[in-house]
Amino acid sequence: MSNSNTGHIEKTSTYFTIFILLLVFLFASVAVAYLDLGEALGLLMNLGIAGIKATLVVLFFMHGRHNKRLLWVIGGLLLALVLFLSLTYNDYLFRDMLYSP
Amino acid sequence: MADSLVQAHSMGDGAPHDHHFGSFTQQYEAAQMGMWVFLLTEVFFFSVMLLSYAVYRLYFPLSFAAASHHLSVPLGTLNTVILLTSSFTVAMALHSIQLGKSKACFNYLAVTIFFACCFLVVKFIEYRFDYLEHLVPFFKSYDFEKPETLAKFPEYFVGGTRIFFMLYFLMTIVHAIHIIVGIIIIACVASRTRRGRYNNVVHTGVELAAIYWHFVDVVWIFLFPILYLMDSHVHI
Repeated sequence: MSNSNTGHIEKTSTYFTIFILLLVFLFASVAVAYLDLGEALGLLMNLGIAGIKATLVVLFFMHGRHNKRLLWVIGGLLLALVLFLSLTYNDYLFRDMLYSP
Repeated sequence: MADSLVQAHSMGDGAPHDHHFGSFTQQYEAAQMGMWVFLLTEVFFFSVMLLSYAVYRLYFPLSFAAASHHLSVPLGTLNTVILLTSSFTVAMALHSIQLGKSKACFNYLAVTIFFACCFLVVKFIEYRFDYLEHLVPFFKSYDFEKPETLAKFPEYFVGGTRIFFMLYFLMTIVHAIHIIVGIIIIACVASRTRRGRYNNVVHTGVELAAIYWHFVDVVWIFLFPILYLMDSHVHI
């Protein structure tokens, strides 16, 4: 154990691997964007790859994987965010159905 | 996990701390907590813009596809590469100071600032291109909904492209402001590093600046596919 106040020191190679992975995912998402996968799958690939990249950054670059309490807080936030976004979007999605004859 | 953290922290507890904190560990954890709470509020701030994008895309799918085709995917990709690289260098800056190498830390912070400036330059080139193409909805020169295009998709095009470009400029300008703030923060931290204010025990400033910068990167990771890539496969 080191005497750093962050408690954990990653290996340089870990940072480098994650960096390369992020670039690979970036070019994958650009390539996939030009394929016609249909609305739902295309959307899923687009946002899914972005989600994976964000997770890699939070877990490795931001040292999230060494701070489990913090991950619980982030998880709670994401749950609140999903509820907030999906319920609001849901309202817009089905509003026409209510008012059309 | 908690035990190992406590052990690690207690080793830094001889470090100086402000008088209203009981120990250096407490001060460090309070600072880190403060930064994370701030970032969580930022997540909600950006998510509101993403939600309005989602709602208007639902109403104007073809307008949004047509409008997003006018953004440059190569420039957007280049900017993403630049930001990911800067995220890597700022992570390496923190890594260096954790090992007590303040000179290397300063160099990595300087490189990070360089990449951040590159991002702004590329963004400026894009904005200039948008201006020359009359795509800026705040100006009278805005000229996207040409009559021949309108005749093709009459009901979809009413106002839709204007809303797309409004959201595009709103989101990217707010993000660019975060980049500028990040440059200022990293410059302050770099200057303190150079003056020897941080070492392998005390480097809260470097860590918080790094966390903030990674967050700015994460925001762009979502903005890029949503604004540039979402409708690349649609032919209009």
